[in-house]
Amino acid sequence: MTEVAAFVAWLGAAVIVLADSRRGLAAGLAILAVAAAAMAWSQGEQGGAIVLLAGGVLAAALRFTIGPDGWGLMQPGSTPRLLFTIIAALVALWVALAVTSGPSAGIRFAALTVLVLLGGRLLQAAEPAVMLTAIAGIALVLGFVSGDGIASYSLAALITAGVSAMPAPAPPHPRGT
Amino acid sequence: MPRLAFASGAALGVAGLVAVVLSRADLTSNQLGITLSLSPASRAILIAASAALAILVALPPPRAERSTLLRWGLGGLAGMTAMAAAPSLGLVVMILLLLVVLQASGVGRRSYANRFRAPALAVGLLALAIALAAMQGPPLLTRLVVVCLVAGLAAALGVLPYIHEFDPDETTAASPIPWLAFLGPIVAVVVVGKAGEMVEGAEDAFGALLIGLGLINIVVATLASWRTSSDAQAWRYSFVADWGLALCGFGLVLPDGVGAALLVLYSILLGRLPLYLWSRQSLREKAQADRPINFIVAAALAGSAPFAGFPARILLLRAATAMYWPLALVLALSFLLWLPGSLRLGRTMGAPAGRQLIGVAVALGISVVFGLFPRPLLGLAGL
Repeated sequence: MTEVAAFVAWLGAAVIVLADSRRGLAAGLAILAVAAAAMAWSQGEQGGAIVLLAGGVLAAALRFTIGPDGWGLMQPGSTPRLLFTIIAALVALWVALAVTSGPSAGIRFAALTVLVLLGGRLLQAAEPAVMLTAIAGIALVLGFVSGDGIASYSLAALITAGVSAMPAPAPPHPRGT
Repeated sequence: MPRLAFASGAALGVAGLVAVVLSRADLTSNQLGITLSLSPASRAILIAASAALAILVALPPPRAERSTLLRWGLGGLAGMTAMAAAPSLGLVVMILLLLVVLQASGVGRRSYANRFRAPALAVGLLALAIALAAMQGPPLLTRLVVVCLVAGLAAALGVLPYIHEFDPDETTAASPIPWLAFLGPIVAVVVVGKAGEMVEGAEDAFGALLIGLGLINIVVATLASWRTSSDAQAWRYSFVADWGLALCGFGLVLPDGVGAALLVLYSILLGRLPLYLWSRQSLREKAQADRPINFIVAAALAGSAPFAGFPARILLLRAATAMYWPLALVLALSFLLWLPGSLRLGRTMGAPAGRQLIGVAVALGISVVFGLFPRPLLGLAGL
């Protein structure tokens, strides 16, 4: 189950990397939330999984309503991003399987690939909705890697939903103190 | 109604400060289902940050509204307290993430992406460090954790090599200054404090990286503070240079080094930050002066005796000498670089008058007290 969840997590992060509009971003966040919940469930954290899923789905629903209109998936000029999703996954897979060891290779792969993909998206994007979705995804990953039980799952779910509820930023302001 | 809201906010802030002051360091609580505890160093920084906010609200800079200062300051303090009490770095990074998003949501002159990107990168790097630290693998993996931790800390603070974009005309709350001068100290204390378990086996690399980064920040930022064309930029670089000292202190690990770092953080919170805010009006008016008060401010900013920067520098030299004496030599030479930049910053205070003069006198008075009696402050931080 963890291996499937890890692949789904990569898919969710890849969709966030490849999307430029609210529907695509919401879909990516929802997929990532399902994967994060599945990973928490596989670790025996059923309560955490439910909380994470609820937070992630709420965040995806909010993102569906806030941001540039449309799906914006794989728009012209997104080939470098597509290559990035594949190369990051291959490197993360190598690190998770060959370089590191521990109880679950799936969780290691998911954490690495999602953090690298969404970190890259944060550096590349200029649209607030995209940046907020990427950081919401990072919060989901922090939920299952920080290891504080229900506290970390709950905080991650709250932050994911809260970040996605942020309205579009105000325009630049004149001089001030 | 605004006065009632302001009074309520101020009362809540004072109550929070009293709670922090009355709290016992290292006492754990399990009442909320998670283990919360406040380390002595975090508690000391929280008290200093609260005092800085109280001074600024009591003596607000020209054109700054007390309610705005209180709103942003209390929001920041709430986040800082949560970070200080959080049991793990994972929870700390999640709270940091929330603060990043909230600060970027304010109204600023830079684009949203520019305000958001660098602190968000810090969240990503620290999250990567946590994920890597949870894995088992070769020693190189721990080195990667060290790099991610130090890079994440630098990105959160906005020091080299992740210096945040700065617009001199932007409001202070939306600018990178809160990361350097208000939220930064607690982020550094918490991250360095919780890094111990994560960098097990690579403590030397962690310390060396902090010292190296600190030295780079000292040299580059002191020179930039002297040579840059904009006075506001010069102030920003002066914060970065002070952070160089603090990073060196944390990297030296010895009690004297950590004590020096904490004294530098106190002087940032209660000296450099208020002085910067009170200089904003004269920066806008490009009013410069060469009065005695300007030279006293310059001396305080340069870390000369009897101000707070002086015992910090002495402690740092003592720790460096104990660890590796050539480092002390390099540090001693680098301290001279503070002089030209500080003289320039002193002049930018203009001719303080009225509330601004009282504020400058209070900041200098606090700095003298810290400089003459650093021991109680270090004791407050458990050193």
